[in-house]
Amino acid sequence: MRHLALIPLLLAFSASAAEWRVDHEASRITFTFTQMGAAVEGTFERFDAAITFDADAPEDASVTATIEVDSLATRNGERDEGMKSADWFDVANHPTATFVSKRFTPAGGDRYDVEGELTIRGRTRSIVLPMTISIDGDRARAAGEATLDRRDFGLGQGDWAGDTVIGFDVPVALTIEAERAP
Amino acid sequence: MRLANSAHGWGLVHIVLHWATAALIGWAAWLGWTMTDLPRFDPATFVTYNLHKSLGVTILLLAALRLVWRVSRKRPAPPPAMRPIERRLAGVTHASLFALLFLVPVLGWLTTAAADVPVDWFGLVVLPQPIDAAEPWREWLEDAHWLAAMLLLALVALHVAGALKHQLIDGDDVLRRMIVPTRE
Repeated sequence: MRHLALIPLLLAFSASAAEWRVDHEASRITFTFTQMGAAVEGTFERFDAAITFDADAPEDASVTATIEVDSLATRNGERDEGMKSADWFDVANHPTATFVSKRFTPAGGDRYDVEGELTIRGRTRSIVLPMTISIDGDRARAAGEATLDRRDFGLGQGDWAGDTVIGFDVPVALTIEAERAP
Repeated sequence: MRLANSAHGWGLVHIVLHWATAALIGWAAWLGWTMTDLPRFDPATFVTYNLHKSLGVTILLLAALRLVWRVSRKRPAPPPAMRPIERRLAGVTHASLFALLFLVPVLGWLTTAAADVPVDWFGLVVLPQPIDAAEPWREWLEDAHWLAAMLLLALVALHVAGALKHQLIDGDDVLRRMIVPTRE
């Protein structure tokens, strides 16, 4: 019976070998949109992710990321409030956006195509995020970019539906640094 | 009809630049006055603000053109009947108007850059942002832009009053020669 006590410890050890904790200081999620034809950059300041990744077993890799939409910042307080309003992110009804990975497909070297479901403003779309994931000891760095169409997520309702003022394409860039979970 | 100025009067170029600037100031001032009542985050508001900014940038461009044209060309003498104090007042008013034709648009440009909202000049050219986004500076710059614009409008009123005095009281050709290009 005494040996049973070791089981949780062993389980914890085998799992922790591939689990990572986000280093929030070094990680960024940025998006770029065009306003009156000019590029404007925004960020989400608060997000977290449960990451399991082992380069030797990408088929077991998974990411579940949660973004607090209220932490949106575009260097203009009025614009931030506008972006959080019902016509845009509708933070009151949809306080979080999520990404849940389905599959990591190796794409050569340290590149992977991360397929998953992105949910923004209550709408879910399948997307593929091309990511570069490099591991150096207990530190991992992942970077990737994908261009989203804001209409897929119902961002920009009513008078904002057209692209006269705010464009449809929104490139999103991720830089995630993480520490191996102890 | 001459394009260039002469010792006798203003040429067509000077006259067109003068009245174009006057019309643009009127339009930009009207938009500036009314647009602050629009809903703050609305596509039509962005379009209206951008038009105001496009007009301001055009005023700035015309001011630069006028400055070059003014220093490189002859200019007619003031009416001989003007007293020295009147000439000085006219000179100070014209110089101040000129300075504000540069200052008001530049302060507006800085304001919008501080707010991180780029200027898309009539949908043709996106202007570079002269300063980085800086919310704390934005309000200060907005106030400075507004104050300078009010001063500009006050000087325009003085300028118009001067032109009317020349026309109605002095009976000279100061207003007429800003309407009819010189022939000689």
